Amino acid sequence: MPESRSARGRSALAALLALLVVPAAARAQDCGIPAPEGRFAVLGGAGLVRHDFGDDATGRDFGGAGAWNPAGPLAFSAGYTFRDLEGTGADPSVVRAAAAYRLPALPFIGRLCIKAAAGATRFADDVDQTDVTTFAAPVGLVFGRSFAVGATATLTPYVSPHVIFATSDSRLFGFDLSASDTGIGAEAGVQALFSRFIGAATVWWNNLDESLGPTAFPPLQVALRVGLVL
Amino acid sequence: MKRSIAWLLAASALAACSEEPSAPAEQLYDCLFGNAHGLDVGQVATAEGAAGEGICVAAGEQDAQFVYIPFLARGSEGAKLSVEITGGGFAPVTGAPNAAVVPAGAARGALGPDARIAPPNDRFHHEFLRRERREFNTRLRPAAGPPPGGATGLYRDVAPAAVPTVGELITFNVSTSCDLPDLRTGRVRAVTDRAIIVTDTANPDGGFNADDLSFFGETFDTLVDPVAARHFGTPTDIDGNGRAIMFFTRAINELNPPDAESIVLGFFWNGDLFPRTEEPRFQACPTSNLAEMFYLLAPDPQGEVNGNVVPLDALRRIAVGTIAHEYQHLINAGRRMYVNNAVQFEDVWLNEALSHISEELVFYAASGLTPGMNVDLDKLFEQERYVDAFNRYVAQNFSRYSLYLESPDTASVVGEDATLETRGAAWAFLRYAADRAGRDDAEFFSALVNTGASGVANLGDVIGANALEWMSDWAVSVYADDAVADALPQFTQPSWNFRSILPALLQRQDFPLAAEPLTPGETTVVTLRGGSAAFRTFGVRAGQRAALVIDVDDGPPPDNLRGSILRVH
Repeated sequence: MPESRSARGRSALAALLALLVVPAAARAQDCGIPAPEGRFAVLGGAGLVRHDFGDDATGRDFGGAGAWNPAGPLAFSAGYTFRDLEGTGADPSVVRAAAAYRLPALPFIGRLCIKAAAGATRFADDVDQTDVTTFAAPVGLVFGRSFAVGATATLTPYVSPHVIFATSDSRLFGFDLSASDTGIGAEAGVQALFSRFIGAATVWWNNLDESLGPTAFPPLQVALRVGLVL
Repeated sequence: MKRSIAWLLAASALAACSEEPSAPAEQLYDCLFGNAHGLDVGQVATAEGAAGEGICVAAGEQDAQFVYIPFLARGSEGAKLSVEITGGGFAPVTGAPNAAVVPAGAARGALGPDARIAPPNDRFHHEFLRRERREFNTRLRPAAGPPPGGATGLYRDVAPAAVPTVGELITFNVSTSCDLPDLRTGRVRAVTDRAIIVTDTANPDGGFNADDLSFFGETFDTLVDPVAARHFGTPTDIDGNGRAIMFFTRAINELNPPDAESIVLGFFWNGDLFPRTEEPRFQACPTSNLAEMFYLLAPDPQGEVNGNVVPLDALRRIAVGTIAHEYQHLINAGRRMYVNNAVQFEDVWLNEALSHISEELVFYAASGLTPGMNVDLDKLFEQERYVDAFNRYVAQNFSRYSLYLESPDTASVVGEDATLETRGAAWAFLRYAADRAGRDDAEFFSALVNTGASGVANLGDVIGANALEWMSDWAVSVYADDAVADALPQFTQPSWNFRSILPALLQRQDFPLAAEPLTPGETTVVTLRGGSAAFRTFGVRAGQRAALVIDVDDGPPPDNLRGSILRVH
């Protein structure tokens, strides 16, 4: 009996690996845009962010996004999140948008995309001493690959190194702190598509100078989103 | 703020230029998006050195007012330190309590020193002590073995000397030089159990009569000496007469130049305790009078000496306070030389503070009031003797303290200069320290006098804590006491309600503390010396935050700058 159970386990693992290594049809998720080919998806989710303010302020993001993958190499996404920074005096609003262009598939690697995103944040107090607006734009490549999991599901891991430009137009406690910075960053994630349901788990990291303020792309962020394909 | 991850540096080609933000950006963003002090009324947050570079406070649910109090924690004044305070998020400072509280009864008169006599020339006194300490420290020598005065403080087992009799003439040196004597002749006018009262035979006409001089002697016996001996220690007795000599001499009047706006009331001179010939423990001071004695201003109703009128009645009222002051100096020096085996005299600021404490202790003994009662105007006016004792013994201390309050950033508790402000601050601080220490006054002050240590180190030994930190807390109490609800005990001054008494004493409608408001977006520079503090106020609206950035020489504050934030409202 023990050998039999072990053998069945090895068979199952082999089957799972076989499924994972079977490339699925090329999809826009390869570019980190959570919408299947030719479809529109709406997602909602939450995430954790960490800024370097104070003693590394942490917080949560809540929001929604839409992603559109028209037939062809282009895909788009846009969303809004409310950032609740723990124990702080300000909770900025965040909007983000991204566009990706899918290049031909590469052997052994999968899809290669060019992706550009933009995000803005804003916080203002009601006594006209603080008004912080930031704009950040990561531009880079996306390496992604989709794998069929079973008959109806697709799993798409990807990684996207990028350069990120940021600028802020900020008045803080009455001081003009407008500034700009350029840094490097990376986004990595995995998206899962099952029937009409789509899910995405994403990690962002960059080394932007936080003296710019709380950009749409904080130094460290993780997010989980789930949604429907329309 | 940019995270320094080594491997990222290799990617410097990508991680390109970073435009330098304006200086306080990091602290301001830290404040807006990071942690803030959410202080309740009366609470204080204190940070030292670089930890105090960025200060962030949150008002909470109600409008708030704060005061920022930087204190330079140095045991001596030293070089000035310019502190730049920049910040924002401030709302106007409005509601009470602020620095301009008007207490009930502020308009009451009758408080204050006698206006018929010019105020004491504290600058002379302080400079004198400073010079004296410098000179006589070099005349003390470390030596092994027991102190020359033994356990009793009696010098060399001297045989009891003959006590002078009334009418006897004695010659004293009145100069303060060990090399150049200035001899004056005095006549013994009264001898009591503990005092010998002598007047200069060359004093101006219209001086004290026999009753006045007997009064001084008896008051010394029954009030000053018991209080001083209990709190500072038994005086030495190098001349073996068992008494202190008080010499009312025109030599003091001569120290006051024509039309003097302030006058020298008297002094004690260390030289009189030194031997005239070399000894193992002491260098010689050939002009020494070899006596426990001090010198006092003589009445001069006609202004014979340099035209300065010294009314008899006025001097009669204040002389006992001067005697109490000088007597502490005498006890302090004598015990250091002959009992404590000290190789240095007390720092001038602490020596002065102890002498002003001596005056205050005589006030308590004369009035029947006690330390820790938070005496206010109403209390003082309960009985005439309270007011009388106040005016005789401590009104000048209050006046000096008020001068400190008017310029706390340029004055110093441990000031080496002869400022009135330093003496006012040092007295108020020492009273605060005694109250905070929670020990019996006699035990506390006696410990300060009966030691070989001096200054901040001496105080630190006695309180068992960092004396400079106590000074910093005291600076907070200068604002908080009797003005801020729920202030913690270390930020209060339990013995006096200065906010109640000072406006009445000064005949003004507000408390004289200089506490300037901060302006958002502007840099305020305060220049501190060691032992001095500044008071800068600001408001914060409900739900808002305010940020302060503290710079010194374009960098973070040095370790000895302690910044305290007090929520006052």
